[in-house]
Formats: sequence, structure tokens, C-alpha cells
Amino acid sequence: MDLDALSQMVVAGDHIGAEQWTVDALAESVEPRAIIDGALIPGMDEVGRRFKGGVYHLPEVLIAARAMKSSLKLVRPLLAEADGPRIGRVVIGTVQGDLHDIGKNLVSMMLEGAGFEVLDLGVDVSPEAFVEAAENEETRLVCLSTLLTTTMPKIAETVAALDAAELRSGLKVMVGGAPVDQAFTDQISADGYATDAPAAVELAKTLLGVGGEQGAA
Amino acid sequence: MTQADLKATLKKHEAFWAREPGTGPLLNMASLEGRSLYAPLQGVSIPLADGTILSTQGEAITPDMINPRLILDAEEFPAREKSNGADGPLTVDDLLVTRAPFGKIPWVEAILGCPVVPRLDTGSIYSAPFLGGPELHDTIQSPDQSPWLDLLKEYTRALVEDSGGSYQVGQCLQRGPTDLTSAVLGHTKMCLALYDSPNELKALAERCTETFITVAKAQQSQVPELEGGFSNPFGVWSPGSVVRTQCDVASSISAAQYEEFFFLYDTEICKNFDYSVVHLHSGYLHHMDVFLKERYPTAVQVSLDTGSTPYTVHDLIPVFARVLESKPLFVQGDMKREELDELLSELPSSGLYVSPRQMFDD
Repeated sequence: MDLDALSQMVVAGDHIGAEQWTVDALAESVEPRAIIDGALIPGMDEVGRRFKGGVYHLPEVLIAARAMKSSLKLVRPLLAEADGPRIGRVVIGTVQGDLHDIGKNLVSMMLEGAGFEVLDLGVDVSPEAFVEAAENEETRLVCLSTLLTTTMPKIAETVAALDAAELRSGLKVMVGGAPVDQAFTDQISADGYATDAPAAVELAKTLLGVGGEQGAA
Repeated sequence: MTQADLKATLKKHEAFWAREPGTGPLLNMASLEGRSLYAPLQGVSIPLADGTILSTQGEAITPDMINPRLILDAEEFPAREKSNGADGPLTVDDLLVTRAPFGKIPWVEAILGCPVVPRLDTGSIYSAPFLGGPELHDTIQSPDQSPWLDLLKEYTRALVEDSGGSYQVGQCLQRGPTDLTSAVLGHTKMCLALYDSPNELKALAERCTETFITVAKAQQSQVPELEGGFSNPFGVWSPGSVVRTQCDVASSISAAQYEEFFFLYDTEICKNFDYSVVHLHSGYLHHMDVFLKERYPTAVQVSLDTGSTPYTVHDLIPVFARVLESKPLFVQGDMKREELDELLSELPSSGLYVSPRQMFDD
């Protein structure tokens, strides 16, 4: 089957088509790994490019991610644990006191589309909950999001909590959200910040020292 | 303020709306000294009608819990100390001191049916989404049935009484149809509805628009006219009715989507008033041209963003100049002294309003 067809369905946000294509492909014994590496990741890469270029906006990214997920949910259970290296486990959430989720969701979906394993803690997440999730030895990256200036201190508190738990040596911390900038990132000693979801994916890859070719599981 | 001074101030404001050559700009430099036209309740306890202090966390509050009088008494509002109204309207720089109903309550969202939930740890009160999907737009209650609207009118009357003619009473913070559909549905669901249920989303936006207009008119009906007009939340008087709308959520959709789904509703709001202002953010002006095509809104207001949004005042000068070719422009936000100087030197003064909330040194 034509992997490019699925990739185009992702770019177009056709979740019904993507799901049916995947059902048909698996019935024809198309390798799950090939579906991810040959269609879903390239599709989401293209979505990221269009978003960065101002061609796509949030709704287009959301429907593309939905299409990607409609395929991924069928493929992922078929992947064996040993089927290639994972890029890394990412813990993501909106910090305590902030209920905004769309930026965080966008980064979460784009990371997933790029092959990361994502644990989304949701919104209004306490520093303690981030620490607990980061204690899992497979976690390599923590992403903290906020839209509100009033909850920016919670980002700093969470970073401090990760420090206090002595988790930073094997862990990177990324921050994001409209009020966040490089000066704030430096001030709280986070490892980096990104201005949008595609930039977050690139930064995550850079921080974890992985290239764009690696597959997902 | 003498009657002659008042007339001169109002004439200046009228000239602002008309962009009369040789007039303006309107400046609110007082905010540099830490004073504000508004009275935020940041860090202040919220007294409730039953005599206790708001202490719920994460649970919805209801209108019967709030007594406007108690909040007015608790709210920090230095201007009130300076006048009892006998000297006429209070001014700050070029502007009329104007106070609006308690800005932390999401009034229109509450009237539409959103639960109103306080967060004491962040000092905010937010509205929670409640509508399962845009197809349920018909289930939204009429604003006349909402006790939140009764409370807002009571609050507005309390402000008018408290003012005694000293400060002006303006419209509470009302978010426009784009933001309201997002508020009742949730942001993600609203974005998906652009593709999944476009007609139902438009019907929902229309319902939100009707409620918005009802709320704005209900407030205005409680406020006495000043020389045949009203002051807006920016402290600028207009010789007729005035409304402020906003579309922050348009930052996440394309200009074409905003124009197709929401602009006609923002326009409908503006058409119901003599003067209108749309509030925008400097980081997200990709849909600016939509507002400049036609008569409505009659003015544009841009808040200068900080943080990760990339545009400096210098970057924005060409955009601001384009706005001023057809409409008055309000610019508000933190800026450096040289940025203020650049705004004032590079832009036409007629139709320009500048309020540097905070000035930074290099």
C-alpha cells in the first residue's frame, strides 16, 4: 500500500480515512514500523513545517494530530518492545493553577507524532506530580507549560522541586507558553524554551541528542 | 474640574474618534506612576454576601454569594478618596477616570451558563466549559433568565451610586463571540468544530453574540449619560453609546477562519453601538486587515505582549500606521521610554491613544 497516501491523510486531517487505511494496511500485513516511520512521522513533520510557515494554524494541526492518532492507536499495540529504540519518554503538563491546555496538547501531539513516548499529566499539575512522574527512570524530558503570567512562578517551583529531588542529572526540562521567554528560562535554570509546537519538537530532539530519523514505539 | 475644562476634555475625545487633523494624541502617562484607571483585586480577599471571605478552591461560586457593595468597599480605588463628585468628573491626564464592574468575574461566560470557579492560589476566577458540542446551542439559557445578569446590573448600579458623578462607570470586561464559543465549548473542541460542525459553530457564535449584546446594553442602561455619551474602559468618552469586544482566540486560527466564522458576529456587536473598539494582542495581528476593510469596529486597541511573542514596538509601527489611516488606535502595554518616543514621533497624533502601563529603563 502507498504509505504516502496515509501521510497525505494526516496532512489533510482525514482521521476517518487514516483509520480505514491503517485497518486495510494491517490486513495486508504492512509492517507497523513502516506505517509509523514511512507515513505518520513524515506526515506530522509536514504539518509542523506548514504550521511554522504560517500556512497551518491550530485547527489544522489538531485535525492532523487526530488523524495521526487514529492510525497510531491501531499500530502501536502491534509493535514489539524490541522493535527499535524509543526516542525517549516525555512527561508534559500545564503547571499548577493554570487550566489552559491547548498549547500543551499541541506540543504533546507533535512530540508523539515525532516518535516520542508522551505521558500527558493534564492541566493544573502540582510540582509533586511532576516529580513523581519524572522519577520513572525512562523519563528523559519534562515539559512545563503555562499561559498565565500569574502561574509562571509555578514553573520555577516545579524546576526547583525536580532539583530538590536530584532528578536533573539525567533529565532535561523544557518550558513554554506565551509569557515565557529566554530570560525567564535562564533565570529558573531550565534547559530550554520553545516558542511554538514545531520548535518544541526540534528542541526536544536537540536536548535528547537525537536526529529526525529515529523511529517511534 | 470646571465645566469649561470638562467640555475641553470631551472635545478632545470627540476629536480622537474623528481623527481630526491637528489633534491628539490622548495619553495616559499616569500609569507610569503606578496608578491605574482600573482597580484590580489582586491579592485582596473577596467578601461574600454571607459575611465570610471567599475561601472555596476549585468549586463553582453562584451569584447569591456575591454582594457588590461589599466588594466595592474592599476594592482598592484611590481615585474615590479624591472626590465626592462635587468637582465634576475625575480625570487622569487626558482621560476620564473610569471604573468597571469587578473584572475578575467572567460575566458573559457566567450568563451563558459556564460555571464560575475561583482559584485563590493564583488570584483568578475562571469560567469552565460546559456545552457538550456546538449542536447544543439551543440549550443555552436566555440571558434574561440568568441571575448573573441581575447581579451585573446591580453591580453597575452600585458603582454609579458609589461614584456620585466622580468617576465614570464603564462596560465590564466582555469577551467577544470567538472567545465565548471557546469558553463554553473548550478551546480544542472549538477548533475541531471549525471542521467538524461549521454550521453549528456559527449558530453557537450567533447565540453568544445575542447574549453579549444583551449584557452590554443592560449595563449601559444602568449608567447615566455624560453630556450625551459614555466613557469606555480606556477612559475615553464618546458622544454616543460605546462597546468593547475582543477575539483573543482568533490568535490560534487563520484570518480567513476568523473572517468566515466570527467577524460578522463581532461586526453585529459593533453595529448595535455608536462607537466600538476591538481588543487585539500585538503578538497576533495576522487578522488585522479584516478589521480595516469596513466601518466596524470603529476603533482598534492593541495590547503589547511580553514573553515569547516576537514583535517590538518598532516592528509594529507600520501596522499601527496602517490602522490610523482608517480608524483610531489605542496602544497599551509595557514599553521603554524610547519606544514611547518612537510611537509618538512616527505615528500621526490624530486618533492615537497611548497608555504605557509600565516604563522600563534600558
